[in-house]
Order: sequence, then structure tokens, then C-alpha cells
Amino acid sequence: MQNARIFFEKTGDAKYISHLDLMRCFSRAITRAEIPLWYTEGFNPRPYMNFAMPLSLGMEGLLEILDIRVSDDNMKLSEVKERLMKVMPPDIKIIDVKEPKLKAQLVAFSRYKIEIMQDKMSAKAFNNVVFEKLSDENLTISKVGKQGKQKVVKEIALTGHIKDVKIWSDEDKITTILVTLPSNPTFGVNPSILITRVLELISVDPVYVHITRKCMLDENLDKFE
Amino acid sequence: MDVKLEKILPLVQKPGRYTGGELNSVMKSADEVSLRFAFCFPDTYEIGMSHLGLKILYSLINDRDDAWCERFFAPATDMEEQMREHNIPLFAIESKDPLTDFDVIGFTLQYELSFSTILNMLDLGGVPLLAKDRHDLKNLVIAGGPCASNAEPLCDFIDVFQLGDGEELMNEFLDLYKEYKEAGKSKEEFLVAASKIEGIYVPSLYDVSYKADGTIEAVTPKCGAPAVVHKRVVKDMDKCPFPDRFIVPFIEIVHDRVSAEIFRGCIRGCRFCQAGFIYRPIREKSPEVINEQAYNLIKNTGYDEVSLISLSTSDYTQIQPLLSDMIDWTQEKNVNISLPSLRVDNFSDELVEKMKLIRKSGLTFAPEAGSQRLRDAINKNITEDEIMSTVRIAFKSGWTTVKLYFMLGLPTETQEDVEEIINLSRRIVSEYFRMEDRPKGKQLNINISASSFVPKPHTPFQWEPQDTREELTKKRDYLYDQTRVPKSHIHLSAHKINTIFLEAVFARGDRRLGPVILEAWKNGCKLDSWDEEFKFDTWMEAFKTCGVDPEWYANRRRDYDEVLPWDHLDYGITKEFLMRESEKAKRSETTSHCRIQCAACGASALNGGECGAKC
Repeated sequence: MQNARIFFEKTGDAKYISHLDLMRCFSRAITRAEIPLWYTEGFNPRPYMNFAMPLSLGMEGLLEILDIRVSDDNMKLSEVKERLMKVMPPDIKIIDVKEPKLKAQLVAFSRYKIEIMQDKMSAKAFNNVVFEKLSDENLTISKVGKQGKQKVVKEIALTGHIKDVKIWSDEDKITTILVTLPSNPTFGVNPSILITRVLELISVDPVYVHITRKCMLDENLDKFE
Repeated sequence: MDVKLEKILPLVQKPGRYTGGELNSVMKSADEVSLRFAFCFPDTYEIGMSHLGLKILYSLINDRDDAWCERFFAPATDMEEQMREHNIPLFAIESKDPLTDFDVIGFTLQYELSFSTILNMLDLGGVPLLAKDRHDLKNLVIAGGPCASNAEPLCDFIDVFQLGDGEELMNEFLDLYKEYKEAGKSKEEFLVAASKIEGIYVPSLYDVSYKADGTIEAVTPKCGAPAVVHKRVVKDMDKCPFPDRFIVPFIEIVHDRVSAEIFRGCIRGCRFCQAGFIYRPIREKSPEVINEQAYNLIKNTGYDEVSLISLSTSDYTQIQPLLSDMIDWTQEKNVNISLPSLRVDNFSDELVEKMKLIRKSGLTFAPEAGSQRLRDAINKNITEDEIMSTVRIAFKSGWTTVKLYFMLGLPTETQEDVEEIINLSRRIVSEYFRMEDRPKGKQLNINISASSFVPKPHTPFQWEPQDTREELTKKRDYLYDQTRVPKSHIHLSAHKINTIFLEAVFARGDRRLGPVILEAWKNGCKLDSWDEEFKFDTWMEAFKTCGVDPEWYANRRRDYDEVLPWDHLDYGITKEFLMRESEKAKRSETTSHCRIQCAACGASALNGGECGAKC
């Protein structure tokens, strides 16, 4: 048995594929590729498949991670990659298959690209006010949590959590933001919720917002591998 | 993707229904094909994507270099609201292009309750609803499928119906369309020419006149259209085009597996069953061909289940050799074989042995009626002994959940017959507890499903009245009373009687129902087969507004000499045969199945005299 980390792209139409559906999609692709999977040894054996920090519906991902275990030790990971590349649906592309360096639970941050088109103000003015809000110490987002059986909405302060913000416009009305946000099993900031809050605060109803996760990072802000 | 579409997709349930991009979906360039075909399924994605006919025609049309077939489904209500609010027309799953971009718009007619959805989809696509308001050859609206066997209620909306098997017919039709399109001919010229193709029914080329009592006086063809349209029949199932790959949806669909068709037609002749007659004569595929097709489908999709489908799977003469061939590779690949549509009279120990190797899913059988007399009247041709021996085999093999299908309101049914449904179910329960080798430690569940009988065209019961809604309600409530007993082990589920009534109206409807469908749709009717969408009162209002009495269609007995709305549509079954069967039903007499003795139904005539039953 050997561990394999599949890096893949999920773009275009595929961004509307939910986590559960993506799981089924990969399971069928691996079957088509005739890659022998290692099965868990529980009462109900199932193939080992684990996505690191699944994407929210509607976001694109350029370097997503799926961990699998290949039962055949002699199958090279380059072979796994070759086989998989031939059987994927058009908008889910295999980038690489490598041996994992860190455990998937150790993903600490994600780097996002957020593209916004709006027609309320000039891009320059918009960029300034968005940057201001993202740097505001009082910025919070609401999160639905649980207190016993009751659902409660909590306001979470974001001080220190928003890192490496870059913001620019190539053409008027379209703004691009690069931002690094916490995303690990214990604490994550959803960029969609964040940007929705910022847009609410500045009363902008955007024409569209596109969010792409460029990659995942470890605790040292290095690319997760 | 369109910006407007991007904006609404995050707001709706299951956006994967609308986005496409599935494995094996076909992308072409609109500029490089001369013919664009919109395959429209008048229900949601999950239902439509489970339909084998879609997969066959999709691959058949896309195999042509000159054509691109794309899929359209009915959006769910939340999506429709968003689309209407943002002015997004109904779009193709593949290209996202609007319906109006397409040359031919083809609907499949799987059930009567989808009729209002057809109107809704045309409207969402910006295509005029009435055939007479569409003047160009472009956006030609065609339809096929089982309900085309009485297409009359849809004649106001559909330009062309295709009757029978579509595999050869579709290509001939598209060739002619392309020729006329390229020659710049008019829609009228095309329709007249198309009516000469066997299996093509152009409703606008027929005038219908009525008698004072409301029945049909005559159906008169014009412009050289044939007086009777014969359905098309594919002669050799082995050579019949069949896809080697299915689209693999991302979201879960109703039948999430590949299906291999094993034969077309049926030898049984159950008198209530339209499919048992309109798909005749019986034509089997050879086991080698099926095995190869199933293998390729699994290989090209990655599914873990293959379903062997037909109207009555255990009637396939080569079922044992086929299963032996398939079990070799399916076991190795961890693929399940599912066998729907099994009959109790040939559910053998050997078959069970094979099935045990396959999987332990639920078992479903369809006695249809509780008493032997009524089973004989409907020609179900199974005895209580056979039912009992089947459940014994099933129990012995470890099954403890058995589903039984029954129908209420069958012709000649009495209160005693209804009581026998309960008695039969109770005898099955007693049988289980009498068996010493019954499965231990499991709960016994006899699930009985009671639907109501709908008289259908081209069947021996096409002249019969449907029970009134009051009668059906009384019978159903009796079953509920009898099954709501603790520890009975019997669970009842019953179909909605109002939907069954509407189905009966449209199944044997005529052209005067067109305005009713239009009126009901205008008042919000669509997706009628969904309980939460079904607006019975709106439908009843529409009948009233249009001055049409629905009970005249559903609950009236027809005379043998009445001109029926579908008499000019020939499915090969002769009226004489249907009358003979109807009379035998009244005497509770059975007719043997086609392999024991040919009952001279007439269907082989459309197949050059050939019939796969070969008795």
C-alpha cells in the first residue's frame, strides 16, 4: 500500500459540484483508470479517499488535494497520474500525483483570488475602500455555531487573520484581490462570507464575484505538499 | 458561462442539474454543424438523465458529423423563478445556448402528466406554444415516446410526432430536414414531405370532425398524408445502434447505473399494460451483444452497477447463459447486476442462485390483483401457487422484505377482489411464519403498493371506463383500514387518486383537450407528477373554463364501433384482436403467452412478418 496525493484543478462548470458529488466522481474515475485502491479494514470496507479542506460550492480551485491509498506497491505514481488524466471529466484536471509530505490535517491557510465586478464606483475608489475594510481591526463575520442543540450566530473578530492582501485593477470596474485566510479543520474563514460582509458594509451590489483558491499553505505559509 | 447564469446558480438547489460538463457529454462547435437538435425531457435532470431513450438518441444524433444533440430539462421551481426574474431563457446543458437557437426541438412523452411541462419549457425557451404560431422551419417541435401512441391532446403544440422505435426513423427524418433547410424550403413543404416517411405523423395534415354526441365522426387526411400512420419497427436488435458510453452525471440521479436493453416487446399480453402491446413484436438481442455492450458501458463510465432492462427480464430466453457470461467479469470488477421486472412464474431456484451471487436488494413482484379470477380477467397469467412458491424461495434465500404491486379499479373488479389483496398479503405473512427455515432475527415486511388502473389506448381495456374517484377512494380507504393493524407486517402505499384521474383523461383524450392544457398552464400548472406542484383544482377550473367534461373522457365506456382518437395511429395490434381480448376479459378467460400459442395480435406485420416469439 502506498499513499498518493492527487493535485487537481476544479474550474468552470465543475465549481458547482458538491463535495459528495466530487467524491463519487473521483471514485468512478479511479475505477475507469483501473487504479487498485486500498480499502479500509472496518466492518464496512470502503476505499480510502480524503479531500483536504473541501471547497465551498461555486468556488474554483487550481490546486486541490485528494489523498488516496494505492494497494499495488509497484504502480508508479507517474503511472497513476497518466491513467487518471485520461479519464477525467473536462473541468476537473489532474495537475500532479505525488507522495504526500505532510498530513492533510496540517493545512493551515488557503490563498484565494477574488474577482469582483461592480458598477457603483471607479475601480480605484472601490479598491481603496475594500482595502480599508479588510485592514479594519473591527471587521467581523458572522458564523453559525451550535450551543448544545441550539443554533447560534456568533460574530468572529478577524484581527490578524487576514494576511498578504493585494488588490489591483487591470480594467475599470473589475477588481482582483489576493488574500490568505485561515483554513484548517479547527478554524477557517470562508472568503465568500468575508467578501459579502465587506460589500454589505460599503453598500455595493456587485455584478459578479468570482472566487478561486490558488493553493493551500502549511503553518509557515509555504505551499502545502 | 453567462454572467447572469453565474449569478443565479449559487442561489438554487443542486446547481449541478444545470451546469453540464459531465464525462461523456458531447461538445461540438455550433458553427461546424448544420443541424442543432434540442433533446427535451419534460421533467427534472435527475429523472430525465435516468431515461434510456435519451441516451440512445443522444449518441445516435451526435454520431452524425453534421448534427449536435444537446439536452434540456425542466428547471425546478426555484431555478425557474430565478430564470424568469433575470430573463434567462431555457438553455442547453452543453452549450448554454437558448432553445430558440435550435433547428429541431424534440420532446419525449413518457407520461401524460408531463404535458403541461412541455408548454412551460417552450415558454421558458421563448418558443411560441402553438404550432400555428411558429411559421419557420427553424424551431420545429417534434415528439415521440409511448404517449405519442395517442398524441391527440398535444396536436395544437407539436408539429411532428414520431411513432415507434426512433433508431432508424430519427436519422431519416433529420436527413430530410437538412435537405429542406439547405434548399430554403418552407415549414409547410417540409411537413408534407415528412408525412410520407413511415412512422411520421403530422397532426396538422388531418381534420377531425365530431358527432352531436361528442364522439369522433371522422379523421380525414389532407395533402397526401397517409390515412393510417404505422409505427416504425427496428428489425434486428443486434444491429440496432446502442451507445457504448453513457453520460456520467455528477449529481445523483434516479437510476444511477448503466442499463443494457436485452429485448424489446413482450410475450405476455397483460390486458391493462400499454407497453406490453405498443412495443410488439418481441425482438431479442443475443447474449454476446448484450454482454459486450454492458462491458463497454461499465468500462467507459466507472459505474458499479448494470441493470438488464426489458419489460419482463425473466422472459429473456437466454437469461442463464447471459448471466453466466456476465458474472465472470462483473465479480472481478465488483459490479452488481440488477434484474428489474421479474415475474413470479419463472423465478426459479437457479435464477435465485445467480441473484444471490449478485446482490441482496429488495424483491418486487406484481400480482396486480388479489384474486385468481381478476388476475385471469386481466390476463396476468400467474397463479397463487406460483406467488407462494416464489415468496417461499425468496424467504428461504434470506429475503424478508418483499414488495407487491396491486392495482385498484381494474375492469370487472368487485369488493371481493379488493378484499383478496389483503387476504393474499396475509397468506404470505402466514406462509413466512410457517416456514421453519425462514431467516431468523429479521423483521418481515410485506410492502404493498396500490396504484389505480388507467385505461390506455392500444390495449384490450381501451374501451373501459376508469372507476370514478369516489369508487377508487372507497377501495383505497378500505385497504388502509385493513393494513393499519399493529404487527400485521403489511405496509400500504397508495397513489394519489386525483393524478390518476387526470392521467386517464389525457391517456384517451382528443384534440379538444389542447385548450385545456393551455389554460391550466396559464394558471400555473406544470410538473404535475410532483405532488408538491400538482394543482388539481386549477386543472378542474381549466376544464370548466374550456367547457370540457373530464369525466366524459375518464369514466365513460366506449362502444366497439366508436371512432377512437388514436384509430389512425397503427401500432401493429389489430382492433379485432383487442376486441377478442376484451371479451375474454369479461368472461375472466386467459390467453396463453406468445411462446405457447400465437394469439394473432397482428404486430409481426410491421416487422415483415417476423416475430421473436416463434411459437
